[in-house]
Amino acid sequence: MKNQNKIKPILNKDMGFKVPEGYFNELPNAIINKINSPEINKPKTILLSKRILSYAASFIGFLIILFIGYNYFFTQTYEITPDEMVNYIESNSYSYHENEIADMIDYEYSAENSTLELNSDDVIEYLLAEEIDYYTIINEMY
Amino acid sequence: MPSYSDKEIVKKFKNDKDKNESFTLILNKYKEKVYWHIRKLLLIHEDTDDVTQNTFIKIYKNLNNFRNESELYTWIYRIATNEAITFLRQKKKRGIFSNIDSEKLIIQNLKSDEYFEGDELQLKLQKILTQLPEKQRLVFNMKYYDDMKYEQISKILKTSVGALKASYHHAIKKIEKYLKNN
Repeated sequence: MKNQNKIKPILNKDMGFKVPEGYFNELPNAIINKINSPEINKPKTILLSKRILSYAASFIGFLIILFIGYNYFFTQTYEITPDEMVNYIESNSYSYHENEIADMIDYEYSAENSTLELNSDDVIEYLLAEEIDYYTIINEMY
Repeated sequence: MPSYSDKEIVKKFKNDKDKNESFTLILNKYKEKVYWHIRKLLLIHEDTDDVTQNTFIKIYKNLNNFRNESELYTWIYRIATNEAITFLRQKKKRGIFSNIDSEKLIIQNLKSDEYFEGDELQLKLQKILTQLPEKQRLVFNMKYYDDMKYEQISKILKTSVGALKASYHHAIKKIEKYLKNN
């Protein structure tokens, strides 16, 4: 390589480093002594508190996931609207006794609590259309 | 004394009763190569001694798991390189100097080190080498000083031969420029 040849005359491979006398002869023993020392062979200890904390954190995480999952899958409610209830009853009315149907009516929507305001003209029109006997109605009212 | 190949040494090591004997074989075969490889990075003898010993302790602890997927020397060099780089980074972190200042400090320490007897030119060379990026420095050391082939270096540093050639070329250019100007 051209560039390497430019620096070769300047650099020799001796970098000027040296080692203590007999260093390499003693190095293997120094290493083997270290390997056999009790400190090197001591098993790693993890603090008990750290271990407990990690278990606790995992457990809490599990509970959170369980809680979210339970709420999502098991507690969803679907409210049936009165129209849906009426449609259902009408389509299945042959199988219900009138008392059962009466029980299904939500108190909120019962006539007594109805906030529907009736126009008197509408009432009269209804009575006329249904050919209802007025005298019977009046007698029943009093 | 019979000589064993690396594969034979590893096989002996995995047999408990031959463990110490085979490890001694590894130590004797690689102690100087590992030491000088580390020394070229750390520069100071005491630091190099510590890291060399730690390297061999790591080799001893993990040799049972060595699966011969690479050459033993590649695996040993990789451990030595990682230990040396980790040591350098930890030393820099512990120091209060920036990257550039820590290099100045290293050179100052080298000058006063009893195990350095290089001349002014060799000191200048170390100065420029400490300023090279880690990988460039490693490639330069292994190619120029250790005469390793690119294919060997590639296995140790897990870098492509092309990238290594580029790294080496850049390192040479920087050194050449620096020596010319100084």
